[in-house]
Amino acid sequence: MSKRFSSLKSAERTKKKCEFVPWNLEDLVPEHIQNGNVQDALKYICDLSPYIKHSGEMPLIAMKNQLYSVMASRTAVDQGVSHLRETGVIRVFKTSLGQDQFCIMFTIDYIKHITEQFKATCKGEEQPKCLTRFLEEVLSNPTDITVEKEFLIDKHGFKDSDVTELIKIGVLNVKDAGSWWLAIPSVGCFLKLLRKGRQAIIQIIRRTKYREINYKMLLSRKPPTSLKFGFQYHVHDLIGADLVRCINSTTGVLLRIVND
Amino acid sequence: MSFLPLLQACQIGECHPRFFRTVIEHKQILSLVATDKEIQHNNVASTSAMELDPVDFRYLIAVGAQRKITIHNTWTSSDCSISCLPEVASVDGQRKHQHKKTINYVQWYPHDTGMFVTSAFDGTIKIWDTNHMKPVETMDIKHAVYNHHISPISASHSLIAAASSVHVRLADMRTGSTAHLLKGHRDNVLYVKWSPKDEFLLATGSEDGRLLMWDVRQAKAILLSLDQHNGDIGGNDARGTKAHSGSVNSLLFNEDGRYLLSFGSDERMRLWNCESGANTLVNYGRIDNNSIHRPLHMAIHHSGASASVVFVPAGRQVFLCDLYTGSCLGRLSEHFSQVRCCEHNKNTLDLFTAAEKSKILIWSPEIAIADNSGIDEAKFETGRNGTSETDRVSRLLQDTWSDSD
Repeated sequence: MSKRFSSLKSAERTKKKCEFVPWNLEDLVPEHIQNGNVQDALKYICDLSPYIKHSGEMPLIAMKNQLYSVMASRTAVDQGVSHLRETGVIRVFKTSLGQDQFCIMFTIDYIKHITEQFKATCKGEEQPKCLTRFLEEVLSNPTDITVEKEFLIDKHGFKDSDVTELIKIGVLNVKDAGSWWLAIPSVGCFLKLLRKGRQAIIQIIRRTKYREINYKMLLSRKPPTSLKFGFQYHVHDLIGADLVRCINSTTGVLLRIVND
Repeated sequence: MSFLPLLQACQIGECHPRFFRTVIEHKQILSLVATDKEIQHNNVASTSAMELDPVDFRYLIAVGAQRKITIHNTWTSSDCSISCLPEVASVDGQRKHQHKKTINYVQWYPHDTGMFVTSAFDGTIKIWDTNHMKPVETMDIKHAVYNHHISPISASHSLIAAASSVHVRLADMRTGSTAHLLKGHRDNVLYVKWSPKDEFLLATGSEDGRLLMWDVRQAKAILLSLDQHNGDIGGNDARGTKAHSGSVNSLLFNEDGRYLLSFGSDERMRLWNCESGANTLVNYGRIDNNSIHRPLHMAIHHSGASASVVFVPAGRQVFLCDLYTGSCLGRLSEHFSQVRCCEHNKNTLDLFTAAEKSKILIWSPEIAIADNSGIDEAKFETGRNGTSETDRVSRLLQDTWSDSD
């Protein structure tokens, strides 16, 4: 398209102005992440929190909401996540936080986390056969968020005792008779810290005079002890979950609590 | 002035006239502002539905909680002195014809303005003769009717699909029979919509969160039950698949009938592929919606794949969303209560919105208003008593913000 169509461009500019998050104003999130692919954005989020990255015990988890906040288009996130899940690159897990809040892990990280977690909890014990088979057979094909009885027992020949063992290890959660959620072992620890961090930030914003805070000012504060993953990780999570709204102002990006 | 390069490109054949039109229309829609135009004798109580006549977008028919039906002429001359849309006809006071309870929906007969159909909470569907403003047929269903729809393209049938409690009922305008039931929903059906492509394809949304597609010719009429997760969560769920986690308040087809937009009380909108029933995963973000038990009416500006805009009632605001990318293009906030319906005039690009406790508001593109005022100024300069009108217009357009505050 030639340069002449300036009016269409200005229409596009208006479109951009109304996007969900005005990050590009102060380079808060790099441009190539905002308009790039979902995989890069996932890596970017995992790198945001030094605690998750270096503690070793924490699984390398990103929330789907965080992607909404980091990337410019929510549609791109949904379609990208769906595509990556179908190709088996990532795994999506249901959480207890809310209906639309899903955890995302790279499949490689997930497998690594399960084996490490097993070694840490059951010292000296040998990895049971069913877990090895689960890792090899079930996780090698791109499955959904749930596992069905037909798939697990009829197709792959797992016994009932094997399923009990897998639930004990924490890779499956009971959903219904004959269907299970895929799960991350010891994810509760992560979710607890995430929830506490959310509460801490909302508390900070509530205590300010006008119930809104400049994002840069928030970053320069000393994080409270309950905030383990760092401000950026939590703020992206809050914005994506529509708990905090981002407002573009002359002094920078303001954060305000939704429905407050 | 920014249109001039585009106009030149159009003249030398570098840009298709349709593209030129799309660009200008899109820009105008993004500049919608509330006008001071009013609707004559508009009852302040809630307007539950309104529609422009589908033939030449001239007559706006509105119904509401006061059981009154009014028809307004929206073709006013560009003269600024007429700032209200005159009422051409109304049904009021004629007790024996009126509906007994709140009228929920009104629709013009798709092919001419001689007839319109209303449905109400008193469980009746009435077909009216516009010229006499009297019902020619009353169909008694005995269940509250939340919504109805007549197929806009049907050549071989004249069925009114009506959402009455848990069933969808097909009322035949030719025979007056209301016997045909479509069973499948488990809670009140809130919205019914015929496809604009296939005259036998019907989409219905209900309070149980299910969105069903029906082929009304078949004995087993449910074609598809749309699933928000595309079958990822729970394939063997006995309760069936859900399109929304709350109730489905509103449905809208795109112009060629290949996509269906749904809006639910889980504060999400979803775009569905009508052929496969798949969720296209377009994410519109969170859009306020706390009407669980009643339908809302969205409007759409059809303009191809790049610039189709949907007007969505979202709490006290109206959201403008791009249909296919899901980005939010703007918000119109002028109402003080919950917006219930939107109606769009595709020729003049005007938007009509009605809220629970206020008058119908008329929104026009800002550019068009500015143009009009320019013409009027020129006209009024020659006239004598036109200055006050010009002043009024310029005062409206004036920026009243000042440094001293």
